[in-house]
Amino acid sequence: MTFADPPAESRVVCEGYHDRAMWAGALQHLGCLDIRGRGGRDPWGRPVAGQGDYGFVTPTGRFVRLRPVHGGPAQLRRHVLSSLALSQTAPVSRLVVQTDADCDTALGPDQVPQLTLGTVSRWLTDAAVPHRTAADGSLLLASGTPIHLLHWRVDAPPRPGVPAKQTLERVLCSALAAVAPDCADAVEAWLASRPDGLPIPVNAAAQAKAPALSYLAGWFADGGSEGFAQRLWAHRAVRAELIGSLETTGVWSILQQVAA
Amino acid sequence: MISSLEVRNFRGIREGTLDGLAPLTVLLGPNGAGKSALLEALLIATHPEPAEAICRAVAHRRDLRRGAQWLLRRPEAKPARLTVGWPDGGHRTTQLTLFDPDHQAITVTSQRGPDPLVETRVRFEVDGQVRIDGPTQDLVGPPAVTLVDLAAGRDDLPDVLSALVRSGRKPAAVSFLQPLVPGIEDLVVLTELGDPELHALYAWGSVPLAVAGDGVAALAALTCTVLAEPLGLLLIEEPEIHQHPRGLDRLAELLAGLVGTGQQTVIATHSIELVDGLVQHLPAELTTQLALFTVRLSDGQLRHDRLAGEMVRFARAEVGDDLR
Repeated sequence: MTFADPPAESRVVCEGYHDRAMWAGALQHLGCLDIRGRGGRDPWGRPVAGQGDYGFVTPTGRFVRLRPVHGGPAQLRRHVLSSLALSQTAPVSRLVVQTDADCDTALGPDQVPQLTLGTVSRWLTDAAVPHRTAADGSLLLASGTPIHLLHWRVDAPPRPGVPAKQTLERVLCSALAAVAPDCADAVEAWLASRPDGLPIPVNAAAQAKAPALSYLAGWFADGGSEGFAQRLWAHRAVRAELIGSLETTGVWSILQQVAA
Repeated sequence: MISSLEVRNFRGIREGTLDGLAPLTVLLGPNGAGKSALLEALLIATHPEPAEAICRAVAHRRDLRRGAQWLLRRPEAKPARLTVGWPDGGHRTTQLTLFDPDHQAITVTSQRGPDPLVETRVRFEVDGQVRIDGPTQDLVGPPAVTLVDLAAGRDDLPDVLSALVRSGRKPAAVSFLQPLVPGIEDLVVLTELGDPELHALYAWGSVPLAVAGDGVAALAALTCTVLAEPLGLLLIEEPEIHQHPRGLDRLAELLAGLVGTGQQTVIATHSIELVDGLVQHLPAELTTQLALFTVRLSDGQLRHDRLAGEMVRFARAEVGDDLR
């Protein structure tokens, strides 16, 4: 494997494995090669082992590392600072922090309560990492490394089969509902028909995921939940809807830069 | 405790500085990154007898017959300058200069702070003899400085064992080896045709350590050295050599156990498993005593990143970052 010179990596830090699957599908659609588990090595010759460490090579020979952090802002913060720790010997040329907006659809993009660019800027300031805000809204380190904060969200009217909370699942379900409205209706009906009195209460997090996993159970069960988001990129119509919604929120532009 | 090292024109390093050396310091980097050179620089810059350290550094590269000239960065061969610093602001500078046409003689000048300059000449003769001209008085520095390179072979193990016995720590060394060397009861020096050899003693007899297996021999040698040496500065080159993961873990336990004793240890390694072992065996309250440097050489310029102990623990245990 020949990498672009000088050696560097783009790093995507995302919340969990489903987010990883979404990124993997998008990157592969953009022509990137998944090198995990094929004796893949990063530009410095170090193995890309999988098990939380995923690697891709872009069509121009640049390395992209994908890291699910399995946690919220506190864990993201530690991963962000860890990503920037080897700035002299294994520099990150672009850092993307990906998280659910996790808020009600009524809130605008700059009202996301969970994680804002200001919060990320405070992390950097507290860690004495010099940076400024660039014109495109990203943070720019003194080294020239941009840091992007991206949220999964779809700003659209409510519809059956699509959860209200702004999460990855809403993005996936919105695309599926647009392509197959009958399926969306069926998902909505099934969720509404769930009997009361179950011993396990359905909490908010489950409510947000239930529609997506219903599509999975109904039509994509053979792939398992972890790869669900990745598999959807193989369906032309769904893919077009996904790209459309990601373009609207600006995520697609960053994805293309990462995959360049 | 040495806290910094500045290197100019030494081996492959044109210039470079490491700040924030810790009681347990790990150097990680690819081949050719300068890790061995940094260990040798520390050896020469801190040794109480720099001339002896020069001899040790030259002998370290046994495959070079005329190795003295290669201590200095070539082809420029400008004087090499090594400066170590202490947390109190004190420092010691050692300068190496080639002074004869054959470039097999080196002038070593050392000075700590305002103390008088000490100059010594070390000449490496064609017949393999080494002549030292000038004072060899002890310079201020760590009380003992030792460079351990298991790949280079050892002919001083009988002496090391003697030191271990005098220190009263031989039982500890044997006890340490027992989980990995089943049946070993003792380490002893026996002679073969008058030549001393270090043997592993079992209930049924003894086996020269040299044929007990490369991993066993290496681990025993390092164990004896670590436990025999007086407190000071211990420099270790790739201790992972020949080691099975279980031996590596035991080794990490031994080295992590030195933290808090007053011993300063600098390890150059390729082994991320060793780093994991050090992090695992280091008590949480002593994590601040660990520093890891990733190093790279680019046209002689030493680049590095320093990770404090807690960041090393996070990067390895939680993130899984390969820091090499």
